[in-house]
Amino acid sequence: MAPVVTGHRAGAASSGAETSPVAIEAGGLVKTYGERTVVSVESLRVFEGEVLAILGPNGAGKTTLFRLLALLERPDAGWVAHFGQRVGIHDIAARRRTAAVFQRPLLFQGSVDENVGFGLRFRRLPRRDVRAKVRATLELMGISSLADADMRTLSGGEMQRVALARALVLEPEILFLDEPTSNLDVHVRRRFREDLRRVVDSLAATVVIITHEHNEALALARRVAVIQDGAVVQIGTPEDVFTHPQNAFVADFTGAETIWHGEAVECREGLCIVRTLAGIPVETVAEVDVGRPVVLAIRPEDVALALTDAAPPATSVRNRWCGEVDSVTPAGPLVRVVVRLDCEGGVTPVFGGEGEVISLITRASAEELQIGAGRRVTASVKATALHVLAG
Amino acid sequence: MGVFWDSIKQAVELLFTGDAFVYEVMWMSLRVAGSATLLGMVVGIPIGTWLALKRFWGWGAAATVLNVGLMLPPVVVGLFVFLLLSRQGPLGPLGLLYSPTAMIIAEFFIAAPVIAAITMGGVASVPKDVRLQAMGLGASRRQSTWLVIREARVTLLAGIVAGFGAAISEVGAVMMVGGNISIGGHNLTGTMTTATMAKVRQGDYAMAMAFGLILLLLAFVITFLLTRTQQGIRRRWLQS
Repeated sequence: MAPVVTGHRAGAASSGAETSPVAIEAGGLVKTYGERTVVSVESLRVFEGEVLAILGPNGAGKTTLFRLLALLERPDAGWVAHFGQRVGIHDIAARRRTAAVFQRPLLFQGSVDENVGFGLRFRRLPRRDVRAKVRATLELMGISSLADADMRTLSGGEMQRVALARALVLEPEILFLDEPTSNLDVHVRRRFREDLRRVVDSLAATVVIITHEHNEALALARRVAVIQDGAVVQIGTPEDVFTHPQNAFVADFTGAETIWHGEAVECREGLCIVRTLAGIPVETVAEVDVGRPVVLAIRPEDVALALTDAAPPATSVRNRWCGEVDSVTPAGPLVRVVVRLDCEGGVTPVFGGEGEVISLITRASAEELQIGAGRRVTASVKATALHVLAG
Repeated sequence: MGVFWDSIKQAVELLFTGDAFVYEVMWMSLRVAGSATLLGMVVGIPIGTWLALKRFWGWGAAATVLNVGLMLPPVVVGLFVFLLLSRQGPLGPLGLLYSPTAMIIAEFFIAAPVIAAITMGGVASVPKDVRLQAMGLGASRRQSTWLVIREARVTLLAGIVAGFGAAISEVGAVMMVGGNISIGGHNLTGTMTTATMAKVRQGDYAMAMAFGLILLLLAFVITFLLTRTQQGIRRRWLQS
């Protein structure tokens, strides 16, 4: 039988996941290597049947957390429970309800067939059953033709597909994926990620996926846990995490490229004027105490550009700043434009990105506006697209 | 023609006419070296694997002991085994001195460190994540260790061949504990190496050369098989 079945993963982001039984729970989890604390997670719950992405930059402790949750490494403190039972690295029965796919395919010497069969052979399944299950899974993954191929002759994408098949054939109740696409070429990655989503969507299992790309988290996960320096700093639906980042790190990491620091100078009826370190006045929709330091985060796709010499259109946009284009970098079908803001009253040049805003516009509009370094432009951002975070 | 070519000619004749003594000695050599290698695998592979996968207090000392074992002068091995098995030695009552068993024991101490050391290198060179990946697919500790050994199998094969090579080409230790005894034209504890030495001393260069040729042929065959195995693997690499 095909191992991956049982209908589509039910519905929308937050729908009832919190009320489902808990598949994985961790408490007071600490792992240190020498002097360095790599993981320090106060508490974490993964609900049955959900897809949780653990999102963080390289070196944030994602892989170590993954190994702790997957019972592959022993924590220095704290505990991990699977399905309500506290478990450790010696609980083979618990580990056999899970399967892990690593960042590198790590195929074992031998044929594709053999590789996919290893997990079943570890479980001492009769040879005939192993063969049938392996064939079915290879078919499902669209790699039946590779069955007899030696693992060394495979391409990177094929290898990772085999690695995924090797885990799926086990029909795990929890599937752990550690950056399964990060080792692939860009064009292979896109296709593989599509397949991965199809598989994950059709799977009834609980899935924990480690990633450092917010796109991947958005595409696959129902909940996202952002991890910084080994600790979970925010956990919630992708919408929640991406639109209401709890701090500058989360904002930055989830794709808000413009991050400004400032202070609320005037608040009235739910609107606050924030003056940034660079002296830029910003109107925001937020309840902040006057005088409190705040962090502003703006996603590049929320920043519109217009030529400064053009007549300003009638618009509801509250925040308009003018400046000079500093750099233009193509990013696929889009163009990333860095604008150095200089003409607001009292803009003081500051280090870093404080005096800059980053905008992502289409290639076509960049050509139309003839955007290039040195061009005078006006950047505008709706007050609702400005994320105000506690400073 | 000199003695060199004559002895080669006679040696080939001896080999093809099926001289009983030559085959008895060859068989003894293979049996003793083969048994010693098998025992060396049984002991050396687990020790090498253990040293490769574990770090413990005294690891350095253990690795040093292994490396000393690698450099062990065969004559010293022979001396120790001789004194252990000699009539006054602790194992004297077993009456094993000058028997094939004594030779197997001596060659075991020569082959086992070689197998253990090469196993250690091979297993240690398997990426650590391979073991974790096996566990991530539900392997028990034992199964994951087995998998790592399996990953290092080419190196292990080389280690086993090297151990066998060291055992079968050994002279000093086997001479000391085996004695190269033959009675009434029948071989009891002669191996190809000790018999070669004895025959040279007796001036029977043809017989000596026959053993020499067999040893050489054996080296060729084994090396050929090993290289072919390794090449097969490299060829598959190149296809990718």
